[in-house]
Amino acid sequence: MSDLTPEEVRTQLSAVGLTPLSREDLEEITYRTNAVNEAVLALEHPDEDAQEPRMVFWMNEEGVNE
Amino acid sequence: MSSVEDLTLRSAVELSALLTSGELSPVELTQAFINRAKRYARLNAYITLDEEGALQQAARAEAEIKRGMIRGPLQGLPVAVKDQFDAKGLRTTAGSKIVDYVADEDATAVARLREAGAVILGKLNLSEFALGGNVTHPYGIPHNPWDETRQAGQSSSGSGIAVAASLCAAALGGDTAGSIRGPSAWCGITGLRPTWGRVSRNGAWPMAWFMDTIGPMTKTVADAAMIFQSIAGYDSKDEHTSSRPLIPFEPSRGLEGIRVGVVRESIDNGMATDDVVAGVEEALEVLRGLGAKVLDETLPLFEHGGLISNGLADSEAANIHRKLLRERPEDYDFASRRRLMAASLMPAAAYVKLSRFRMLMRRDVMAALGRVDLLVTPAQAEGAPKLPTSTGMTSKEAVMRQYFGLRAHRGPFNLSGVPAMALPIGFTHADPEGTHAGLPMSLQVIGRPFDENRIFQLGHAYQEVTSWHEYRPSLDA
Repeated sequence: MSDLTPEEVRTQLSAVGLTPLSREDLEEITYRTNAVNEAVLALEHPDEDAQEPRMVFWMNEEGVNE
Repeated sequence: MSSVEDLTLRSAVELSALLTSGELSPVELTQAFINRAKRYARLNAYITLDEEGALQQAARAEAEIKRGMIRGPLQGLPVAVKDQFDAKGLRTTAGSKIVDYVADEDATAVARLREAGAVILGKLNLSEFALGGNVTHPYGIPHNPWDETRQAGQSSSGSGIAVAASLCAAALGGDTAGSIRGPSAWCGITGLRPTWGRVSRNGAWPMAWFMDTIGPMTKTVADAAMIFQSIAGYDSKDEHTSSRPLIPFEPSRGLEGIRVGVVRESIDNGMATDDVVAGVEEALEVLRGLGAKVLDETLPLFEHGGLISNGLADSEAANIHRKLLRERPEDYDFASRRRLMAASLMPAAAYVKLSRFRMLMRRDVMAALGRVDLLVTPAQAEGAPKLPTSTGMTSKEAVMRQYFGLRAHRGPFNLSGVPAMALPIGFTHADPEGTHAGLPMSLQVIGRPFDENRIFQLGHAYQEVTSWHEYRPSLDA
């Protein structure tokens, strides 16, 4: 996967209504975006496909979800 | 210092005994804490110090105690709360330039402190919107009382400072991805992140809904148990609070039969400094001496805790801030703004993938907690670093190294929703340049869901035979 360029990041930001305030802002947002994308892509686990995402753990009382 | 001001250095439990027995005046104690908060204002612990209101509350508590009307152990105890939580009649800022209103109602945790008779001294400084990572601070840079050139930790920085410097008897903090445990560790105090759902989040500014918790930050474990008991429990205003009954903590001597698992990934292969590893090993020796069986444990995904935790938390935060980020970006600290804008671009597929890895992490944590009673790791990998002047995120690699690794030690457990506590275990070596005589180090103690009492049991037994929790920073040197 190739890194996004600052201009590509600026376009993506614009698409969600956001505007970086400075060149330094855009540079760091680009570093952060590329870092997260690369790190998330690299995550691998043999049991990943067996897991359903869940946000709330203790909704059912008395340990049903434990 | 006056004799009453000497007492401010004592634990909340000790003060409680003096207050409820009538030996100590709540008004005099409150005034002593106010005096200290003003004398050490340079630490920037408080955003709002409510002198008049606190003295009125203290006078009411004093009158009740004189009439024999004892509400409980918090009566007349001067406490302070992170300015992430509403307190009726006081300003809420969330540590930002953007939020500024006077609350009409108390957050539930604050209301419960008041109902128990506690005196609310004021609102404590924090990282902007409880995010952590900001470089500028609208209400002053929080300074670590052990070395004022260093960070106090994020995001409950004011709470950590105020308790360590005895500017209140106890404090409330908030912990999404480490914000109670981190500052507690760097400020040398005890801090509990409760089980998610144990303490109502009503009236708290959200950072990330599905990991936000509110908990006590205190001088001792017994103090933390006392405050926790007052604020925990079901609240109809927070649908995710548990209705499980609270069992009062009963201190017991020793740890005979308790199995403590050391997460090897948290200390092996350079995951913590030599000082911290040595401090953890010494603490484990103390636990063995108390009868605990110390075993090695493993969390294979441990090193990814920072990525999964920060990735999910920041995505939720970006959504919470979406309107303000569009309308008032210039009013955010530059580091917060960049972080939230970057998180606004996270693909949905990445969020879902991280959510699945959260479940894998939780599966591992719960499996480990099935083999042992408690897990331990360092609460912070190092002593408090110098105050930052920039984000340091000058490349993609720097982001990966600094940002994802920053909270690796605490991330696995907020991801899992389990309770975890920072426990002071000593000090690093003194700085050769003389800026500090040693920085606080801390052990993170992790328990099963809703089993805060076992965490308290270990911590209290440890503090019964050690004195790290009795050290106080020297503020007048």
